[in-house]
Amino acid sequence: MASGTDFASSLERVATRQMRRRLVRCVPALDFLEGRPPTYLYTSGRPNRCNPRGVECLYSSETERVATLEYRRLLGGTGAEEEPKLTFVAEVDLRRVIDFEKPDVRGALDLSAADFFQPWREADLPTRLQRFGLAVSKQRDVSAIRYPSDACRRTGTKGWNVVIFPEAVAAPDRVRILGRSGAVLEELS
Amino acid sequence: MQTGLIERPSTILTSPTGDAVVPAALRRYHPTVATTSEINALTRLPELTVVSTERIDTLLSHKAFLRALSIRLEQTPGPSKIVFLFKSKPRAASERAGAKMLVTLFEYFTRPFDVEIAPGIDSVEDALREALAKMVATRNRAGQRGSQNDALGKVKRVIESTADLRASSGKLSANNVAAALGLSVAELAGLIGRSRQAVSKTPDADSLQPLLRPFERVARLRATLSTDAFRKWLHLTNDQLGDRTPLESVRDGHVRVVADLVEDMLTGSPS
Repeated sequence: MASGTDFASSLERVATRQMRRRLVRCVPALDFLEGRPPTYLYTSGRPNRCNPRGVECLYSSETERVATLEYRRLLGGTGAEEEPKLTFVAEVDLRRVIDFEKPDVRGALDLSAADFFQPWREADLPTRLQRFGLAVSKQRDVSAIRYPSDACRRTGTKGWNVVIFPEAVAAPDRVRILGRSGAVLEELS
Repeated sequence: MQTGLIERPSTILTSPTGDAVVPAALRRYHPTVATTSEINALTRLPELTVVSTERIDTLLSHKAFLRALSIRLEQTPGPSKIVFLFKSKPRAASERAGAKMLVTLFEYFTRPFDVEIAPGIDSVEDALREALAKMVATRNRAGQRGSQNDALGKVKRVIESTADLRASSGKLSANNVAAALGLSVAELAGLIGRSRQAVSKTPDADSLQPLLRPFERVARLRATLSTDAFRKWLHLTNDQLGDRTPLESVRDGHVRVVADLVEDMLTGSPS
C-alpha cells in the first residue's frame, strides 16, 4: 500500500534516541544565501529516499565528508562538482530520532540493506523506506530518521544522513539553519 | 477561466472484467474503450479515466489492475482524474464495511484526491461534472500554486537560466522548451498529450503551461551548467535514473523524475 499504514503500528514500538549535533549540506553556489527562510532546502513535495512525493522534509548529512560525497554523487561528471559551493549547517536538538545504525531498530521494522539502498527515483510505487517515512510524517512524536548514505556506500565508506520532518519538530526540540557568520536563517521548534 | 477542458477531455473507459459499456452520460466525451492490457501498455492516463465495475468489492479483487492504474496516474504529469463507476452496492455490506472498502481503494493511489466515485449509474453525470470542474480548477490554479511551492523558482540565477524558454508574453513557449531540451516540437507535443498542430498554433497557450512546467524544471540545471554542459548531461547515462540518460527518461514519460533529480542537484539534497 502507498499510505504507510503498514508501518504505523510498528512505529509506536520502535526505540528512538536523542540527537544533539550539527548537520551539514553542500549546495551549488547560486544566490541561495539571499533566501530567508531557506525554503529551497526542503523537499518542496519532491520524493526522496525516505519520503514519497508530497511529504515535506529536510535532508542533511551528518558530517561535511558525507555532505561532500552526496554533492559529488549528484553533480559528478558535470564539471560543476569542482566549482565553489555553499555549505549550510543545521544545529539540531531532537529528543526522538529513529537511528537505523541500531540493529534492533532495523530488526523491529524488518528493514535491511536492500531497503536502504533500493533505487527509488524511477520506482513504480513508493519503496518500503518511503512508506516508512510517510508513516513517520503522519505522527508528531518522532521527528527525524538517521539512515545510511548511499553515496558513501558507493565509495566503499560508511556515513549517515538525517531526514527531519518539520511538522514533528516542537519545543523543546529545535532545528536552527545557519547562514553566513552563523546567522540563523530559520528556526523550527 | 479556461473551460475547453469541460467540453472535450481526453477520455478512456475501461473495466477490469472487460465488459465496459459506455454509459449515456459519458457518450458526449467520445471515450476510447480500453482493455486491461491496453491500460497496461499506457505510460500515462488521459485527462479522464472511467472504470466501470459491478461493485466495489468486485473491483478490489482485481489488485493488479488497480496497481497498474495507480502507477499510471502517478506518472501522469498533468491533471488527470479516475472515476470509478459502481453499478450496484456490495452485497450485505454494512456502512462501516463500505467505508473500509473505500479506504482500501484510495490507498492504492498516491493521489487519492484525483479519484472520484460514482456509486450507481444515476450518479455518473454528477461524478463526471465534479471531476472535470476539479481538473479545470487545478489547471487554472496551477501557475499560482506552482509559484507558491516553488522555492527554486524565486532564486535569481534559476529564473535567469530559463528566461529564454518564455515567449514575449512571459509564458513558457513549447517551441523554446523543445529547443532547450533538443526535442522536436512534434515530440514534445506527444509527450504532453497534445497534437503538434495545437501546440504549433499557440505554443504559449495557458492550457500548456502546467504541462510545460516539468520541462522548464529540467532546464533549470543551466543555472549551474553551461548550455553545452547541460546538453551533454542530457545524453549521459545516469546511475540515479537506472543507467539511462535523462533524455531517455524524458522520452519514456518520466520528465517529472528528471525534474526532481535536477532540483535535488541544484539544492544538494542528499539521498
